[in-house]
Amino acid sequence: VIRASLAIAALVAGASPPVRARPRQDAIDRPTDTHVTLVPGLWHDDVLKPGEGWHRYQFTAAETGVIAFQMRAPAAQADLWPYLLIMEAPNHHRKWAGVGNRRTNLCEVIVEVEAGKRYDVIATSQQNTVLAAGGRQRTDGPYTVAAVPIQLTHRGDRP
Amino acid sequence: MKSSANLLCAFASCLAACDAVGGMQGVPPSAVPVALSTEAQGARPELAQPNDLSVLYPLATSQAAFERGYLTPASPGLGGALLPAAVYERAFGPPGTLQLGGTPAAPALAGLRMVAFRLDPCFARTPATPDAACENQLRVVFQTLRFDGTQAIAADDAVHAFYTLRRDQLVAAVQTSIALRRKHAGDQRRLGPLAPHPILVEQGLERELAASFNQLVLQLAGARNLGRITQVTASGLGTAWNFSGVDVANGVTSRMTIPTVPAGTTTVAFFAGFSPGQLTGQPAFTPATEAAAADDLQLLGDVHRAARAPAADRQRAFDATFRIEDPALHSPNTIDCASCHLAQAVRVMVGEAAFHLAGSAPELQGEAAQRPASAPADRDVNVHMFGYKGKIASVHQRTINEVAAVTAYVNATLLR
Repeated sequence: VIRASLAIAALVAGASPPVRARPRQDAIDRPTDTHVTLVPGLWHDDVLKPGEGWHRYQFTAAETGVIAFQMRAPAAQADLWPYLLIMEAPNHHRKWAGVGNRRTNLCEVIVEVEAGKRYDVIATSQQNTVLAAGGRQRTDGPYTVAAVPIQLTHRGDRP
Repeated sequence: MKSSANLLCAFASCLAACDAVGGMQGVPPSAVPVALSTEAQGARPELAQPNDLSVLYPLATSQAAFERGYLTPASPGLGGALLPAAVYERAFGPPGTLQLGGTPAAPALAGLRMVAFRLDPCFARTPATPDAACENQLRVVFQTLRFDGTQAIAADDAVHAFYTLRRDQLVAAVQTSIALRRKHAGDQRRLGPLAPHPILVEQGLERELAASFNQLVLQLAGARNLGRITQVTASGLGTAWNFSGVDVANGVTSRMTIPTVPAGTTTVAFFAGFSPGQLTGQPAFTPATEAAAADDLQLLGDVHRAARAPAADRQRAFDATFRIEDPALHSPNTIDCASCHLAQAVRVMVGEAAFHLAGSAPELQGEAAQRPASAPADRDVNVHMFGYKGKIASVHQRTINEVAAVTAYVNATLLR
């Protein structure tokens, strides 16, 4: 169920809660917590490794507004297509997911956030979202992730 | 190069941004002459040249030179290690500790090598600063270096350590540096514009001059008089730079106050975006500056944002780059680290390349006016104002301006 919901290579809202069938190595129901809190405008570098293919970050909105969560990997890195999953914490009752542009290897998920709310930002690669049951995560490579405040205008422009 | 900005009286360097004391934009330019002429300096070899006062070491070209030519944080200086590990750890956490927002840990001490040092008789001086209030200072520039088998290569990071000197120590150090130049190159030698020290380049780092410079630094600097540490690291897969620093007093560290940004800001950052050769970061500067409009260059941090702005705003931001690089107008006490370190990049990559803007820079004389030729490969953002990015030596215009002012002051005041 999880894999099916995550395989959607676009923006997804209101996906079903994860099903905890059996312990998994590292996936949506048990990502590796990085203990990193994203700060608007600052970029955090990390590396996805086999067995640690889902990295979780925290983000708390200081004010109500719009955040573009971004993840990028080197464009030549064909085995790491950035994939972001944003969830309201702690209940995880809303989700937004997106897969990166495979040419630029840049993924952006735009979320309207509420002041004071905490969000889990889960970074992985699209390859990890479509693994067959029990499949081994093979993603291995660097990426960078950020929470970027933006302002949407009626024309869709950025400031 | 046609303004009347006074470069005689203000010395500063931007990775040192410290206690905010307000902007200097209201200070009128002075008509005081800038520097002794090249002819006068040439006739008096006992006077200082820019490369006597700010010494950039060349990148080692042998393993032996790499291992023996550079000082390290652990090198024994005044009252202890040049950059004590305990103080560094108090400042930035144990090795590997991430900084704000998961930005990279401060560079590991183990990989740092001293690539430059700078003597400054009046750090962050403004035209209003009396001589008696001058802070005499030695700054040591560390970068992470590795040797690739043929040459040393610098990582895209830096740590600056600032040491407080007495005036007599500063004068003696200047005289020692001049004496070393005369000893190794004679009285007629002009070292030219700021660059990797020409005699060090000729001799290599295994010879006497490098050892003498290193000895000079170790006699002047160490745990006893360390007053500040600043650092920059890269993130965003090499597209973002994060600046922070601490003040040090008796080994106790406290976060440095960064001017022109919201109170409490401890880290400032610049994001170049993911388009090579272009500045497209959104936002480019974090946090946004609170500087006066005349000193706000941040519009030029993103070429798309600049394109949407009125031409007058672009020109004002472009002119701000020159103001920020003018030590008579700005010092680390008046402008944030990111604006200072990116002034040259945004001016060249956006102001000049994208919008063909032109403006006025402070007028320099003699060797100070000779800007080192840009390396052909150096088209990307380079935040190193006196150091290296990879194999490329980097000397920013701001540093050239500062050293011109320092040289003039030293020759007119200390060595007369």
